[in-house]
Amino acid sequence: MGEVKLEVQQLKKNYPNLPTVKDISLVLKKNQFVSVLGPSGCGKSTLFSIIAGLIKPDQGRVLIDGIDHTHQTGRVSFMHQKDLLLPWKSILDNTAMPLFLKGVIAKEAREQAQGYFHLFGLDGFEHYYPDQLSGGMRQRAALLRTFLFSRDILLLDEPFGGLDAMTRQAMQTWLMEVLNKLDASILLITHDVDEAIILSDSICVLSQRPAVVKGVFDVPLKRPRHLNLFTDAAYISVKEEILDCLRES
Amino acid sequence: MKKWESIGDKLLPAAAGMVFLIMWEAIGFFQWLPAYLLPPPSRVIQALVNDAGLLLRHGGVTLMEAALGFSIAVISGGLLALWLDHSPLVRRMVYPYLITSQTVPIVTLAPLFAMWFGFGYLPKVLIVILVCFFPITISSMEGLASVDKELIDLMRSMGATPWQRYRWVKIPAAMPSFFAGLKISGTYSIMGAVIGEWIGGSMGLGVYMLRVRQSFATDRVFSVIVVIVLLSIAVLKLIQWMEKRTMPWMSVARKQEAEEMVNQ
Ligand SMILES: Nc1ncnc2c1ncn2[C@@H]1O[C@H](COP(=O)(O)OP(=O)(O)OP(=O)(O)O)[C@@H](O)[C@H]1O
Ligand SMILES: [Mg+2]
Repeated sequence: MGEVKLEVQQLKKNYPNLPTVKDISLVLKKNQFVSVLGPSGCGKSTLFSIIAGLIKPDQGRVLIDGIDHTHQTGRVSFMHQKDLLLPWKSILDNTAMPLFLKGVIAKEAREQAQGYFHLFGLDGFEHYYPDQLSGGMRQRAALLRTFLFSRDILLLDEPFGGLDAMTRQAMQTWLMEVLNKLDASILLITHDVDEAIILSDSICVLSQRPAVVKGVFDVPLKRPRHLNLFTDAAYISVKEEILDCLRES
Repeated sequence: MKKWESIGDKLLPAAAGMVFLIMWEAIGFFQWLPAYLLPPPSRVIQALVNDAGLLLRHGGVTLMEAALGFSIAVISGGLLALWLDHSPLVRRMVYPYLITSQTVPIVTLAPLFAMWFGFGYLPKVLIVILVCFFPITISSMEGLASVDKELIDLMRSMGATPWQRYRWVKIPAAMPSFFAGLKISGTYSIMGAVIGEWIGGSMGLGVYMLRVRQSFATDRVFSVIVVIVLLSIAVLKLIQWMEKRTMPWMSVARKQEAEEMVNQ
């Protein structure tokens, strides 16, 4: 760790008559997991759209590996709140889609995607359509697709937001395991404080809209982590700090 | 329980149809109405059998005109929809005309076409094209516009080219709507060809229909109507079959839903 993968500098974005992002700066280092925590509607998804290059910020820059990537798509991969799998493609083709788009020949693209199916818990579902899968599986397939697009920087926008509490916990545990095996830097949006603490190395707390960074908290918990962390003293104190920060506004 | 209900779903309409046919037959049998006004079904069937060869020849011509016009309309309507979807400027210029042109009863153009293009196949095919073109174009455009914006954003974030966006997302997403348009214009296509033939010509069901009408052979008029109905149904079935083949993901999802319903 140490090398900076992604740096966001003083982003500002107003929609017509709606100041949304006022001033956000953050840093994501190599193999780091950073969560962005903020109240609903504060501009988190907008922040990600800017980083992904879909929206042009009014001010500020997005640096990736030190190079300016402001308003340029195609560098980082972006997983939306919805899984957005294509209903008309099999799970295998859905996950291999980013490779198809890059012009990898079909057979090789499918083979590459297939290679990750075990790790992502999708074994045996290659030729199913998305509508035939459970919510958790669809989310894992969407994550695999995201990963295959860009393996070093992943933006995850509330990937588990739509899942029920039990599936959600299982997915968090699973994600922690998988991350050990993937060589990726991850930025995660959530409004669940526990999820942020369990998964992250560092947490960036945003204010109400227009969003500014209210605080950055390092999570001093050793890895591998387990769900029994909830009672750990360090866990509780970090959680207190973050909740305090969220409250004052 | 469910099984009985689904058998009933088929049995009940069949029974109603039988009752209707028997009553119709009775009208002729008891001579409540003369056969030259309302021939009973048995006479119509007889006419169908007697004229089978003629009906087949004329039907073949009508079907060919309809199929040719329909195919041209599908291709040009589909391409126009793609173009208009891709280019907002052109869409804004053309779309109002597309919508209002639907209010023009195209069959009223048939005499005009006969004046311009004579009594060959061309005016018939043109009418079929015009009749089929608008439903296909408009429903395709609606389908292309109905795509989830976030899906397009996702494709953009992955650096997809415009063509890739169409191939992977927009065109498949437009399929249900496209086929809805096909089904409407598919049934119109036979009707369009027949109306075109009414204006004049040497072959086709419309021509044949006028001929047998002039000789007051009402049973034969009815037999032509039966053939027209059967042809329209056949076209519809063919489109439905293609729809299933083109969108396997739809039937899979529907089948699963049905299974879940049964399991509950
Ligand atoms: N394209 C747009 N045009 C105008 N306003 C927009 C647009 N996209 C988002 N907004 C507004 O900007 C604000 C921030 O939206 P955003 O989706 O970034 O919030 P969020 O923090 O991701 O919310 P949530 O927690 O609900 O996902 C919202 O008030 C939203 O209505
Ligand atoms: Mg959001």
